[in-house]
Amino acid sequence: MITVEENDDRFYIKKSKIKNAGKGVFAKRDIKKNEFLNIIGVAVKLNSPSMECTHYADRYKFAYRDKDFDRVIVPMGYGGIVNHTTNKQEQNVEIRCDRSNNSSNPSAGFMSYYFIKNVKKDEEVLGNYNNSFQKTLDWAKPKSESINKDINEWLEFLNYDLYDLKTLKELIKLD
Amino acid sequence: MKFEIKKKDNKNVIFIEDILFDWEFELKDLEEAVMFAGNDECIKKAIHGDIKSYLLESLSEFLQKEVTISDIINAIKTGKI
Repeated sequence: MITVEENDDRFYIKKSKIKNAGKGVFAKRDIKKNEFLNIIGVAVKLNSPSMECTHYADRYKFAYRDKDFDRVIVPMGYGGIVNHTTNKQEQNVEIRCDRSNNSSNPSAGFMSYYFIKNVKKDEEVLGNYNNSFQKTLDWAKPKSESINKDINEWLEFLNYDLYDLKTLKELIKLD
Repeated sequence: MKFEIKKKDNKNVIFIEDILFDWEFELKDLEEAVMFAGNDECIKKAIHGDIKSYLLESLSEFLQKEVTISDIINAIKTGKI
């Protein structure tokens, strides 16, 4: 059995200031812009028995961007109960994927809430549930597959440098 | 149809039957995309895929027939498309 433990000591849980939102995440100390809160949990494959068996958590699952876009995260830490507001003034975090994150928590993936502004002690952590990240995934998946299919041909074509397209190859290097 | 690569404003561009295929992508948009992609391989490939489909759609419309990257590479080599 895997034990998942949230050990980020910068936060605590209490009743959210958002009406009918239940519990929320609050800052235990002042937090600076660009600090981040790792979303810890377990990754579950899409279209799998585990996905169905965790249907109770569907509304909390995060799209998990891996090579094949085939997983979601079932959050098991503070990231799972960060509340969301449509009021941009109140939003202080946004979801990002960053593979360079170095978390001490073995249950952390590459998904994090990044603080987009400084947050005072006892302020609630609030994000934006506009599914922009999911929209990015929905956009990226077919486009990346079209390159995967004929990647060598595409790279050969870029070498002809039509319309300065070699810049694309240089700026965005593909492995 | 005759297919040629010529220099225009220091860029390699396509001429079909001596008519310029006037196409470009915004470098500024690309620089923003680089920031957005970070080190994520899927997003990087998606940006390449986006520009590829934009080019192919534009050229297909210009030629009034569907073309692929393979067709363009072949046209560069043979001078015909």
